[in-house]
Amino acid sequence: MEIRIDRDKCVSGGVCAMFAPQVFDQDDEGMGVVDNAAPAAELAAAVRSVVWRCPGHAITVHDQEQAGGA
Amino acid sequence: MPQQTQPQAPRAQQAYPELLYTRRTRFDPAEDLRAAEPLSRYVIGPNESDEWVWLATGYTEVRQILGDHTNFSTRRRWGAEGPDWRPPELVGHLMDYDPPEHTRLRQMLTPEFTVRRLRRLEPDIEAIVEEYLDSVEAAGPGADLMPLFAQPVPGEVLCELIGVPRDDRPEFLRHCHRHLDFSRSRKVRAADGAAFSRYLVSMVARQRKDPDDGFIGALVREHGENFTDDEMRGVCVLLILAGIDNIEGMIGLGVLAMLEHPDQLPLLLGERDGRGRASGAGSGSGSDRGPGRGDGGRLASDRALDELIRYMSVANAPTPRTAVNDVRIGDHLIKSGETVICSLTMANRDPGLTDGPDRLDLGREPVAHVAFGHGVHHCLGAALARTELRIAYQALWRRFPELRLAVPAEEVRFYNRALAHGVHRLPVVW
Repeated sequence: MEIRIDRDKCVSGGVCAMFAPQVFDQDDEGMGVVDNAAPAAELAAAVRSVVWRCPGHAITVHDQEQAGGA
Repeated sequence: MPQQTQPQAPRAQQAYPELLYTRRTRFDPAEDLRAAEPLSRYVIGPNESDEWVWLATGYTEVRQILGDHTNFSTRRRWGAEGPDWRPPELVGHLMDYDPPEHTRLRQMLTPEFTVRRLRRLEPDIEAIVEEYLDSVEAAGPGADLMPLFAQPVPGEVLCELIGVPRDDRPEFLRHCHRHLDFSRSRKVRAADGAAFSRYLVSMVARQRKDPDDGFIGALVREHGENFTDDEMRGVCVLLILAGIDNIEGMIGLGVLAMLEHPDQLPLLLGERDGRGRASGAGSGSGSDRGPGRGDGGRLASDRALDELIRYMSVANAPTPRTAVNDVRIGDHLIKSGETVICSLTMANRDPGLTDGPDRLDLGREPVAHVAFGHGVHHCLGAALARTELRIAYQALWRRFPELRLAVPAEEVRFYNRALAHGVHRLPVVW
């Protein structure tokens, strides 16, 4: 699972850092950053939920190897 | 059957008609609002020929519209004055800007509103909250929490944030509250708006000369050349307009809801998490990283608070959107130039969002609600609101663990202001 944040789309809403703090953080500008590039499998649901919730639709998840998973 | 409506406070003048999307029955959207289709035409006025707008009440529709700044603009149109013109009072008012101008202004502000940055403000918020709890305690049992606590706290916090000196606050806040009081005439409200606007202009000028480490001072130091004085003044006005009524409403409604659902209170206070586990310090694994993660209790209470915010949706609807292209939403075609109002209240009670949306369930997994809006205009002050509410609720119950209503619950009267939902009075005993 590779997680990316598009800084052009991020609106600094802080939703990712608030609801999946094990994976995301906010930098000094308020932009979301991926803090944990390889989150444990049990965090996948939290990540998906934040992807959907992100007010700027700035987060994408890319499955690198096999299909399936998130 | 006639709809049951809440008794209204006497008003000197009905300056605002009670619009469909502001109608509620206690915490809930009113039945006639619930009856609206997910997207429908809503005629504003008594006659079919009156002006109409689109009203979106479905979660999917609201999210699609608010998330699409390319097709839906928040900018007011002034026709004859030309496309780049806006009246002076809207300069710096973020909700009147579309990207890329909006992005330029907002990106200068966002560093001041991160969870980490707001942590510096927490001791000040705590002190303000405790000060007003002192006045509640001094008033004795039967004290009304609204004028003694819920109304003054948000304004004081904003003054602290933007750096209004203590001595100036009473007068400054008097103007703010009068400006927001829709029962007053437009003229009186405008005069008060002008007074606090003048005050802000002089404050910005002082900070330009000698910036301190407050909010305006930081803006001046970091982005002084990119911001005009008028824009800075407008930003401050917007913060005040957005940060007083909503928080006041949320404090009053949240306290009332918790008194009616005492079994859920430990979740809000962070004493227990949604799975029924005690959630004191140290229970969150690796919890001291990431913003606002001092302990497991805070994480649990943030999640519970998020549900309370969804359930109440105190802001009825954000700034209306104007379509700038023809856009298909569901079965409808919204044409360029047409206006859409999005009901956040209804979107957050859509069964498509979560199971049993009309049930307050502080143990619920957080859902993607839209109480803070969605898209590029997502509430800039969301983290401030969360911080303020968490501190206010926790301090209130720390001071008065036996808090209860001093009147029967059915005597608590709700108001349906254009900007935010709330209660008039909340007399309590302890």
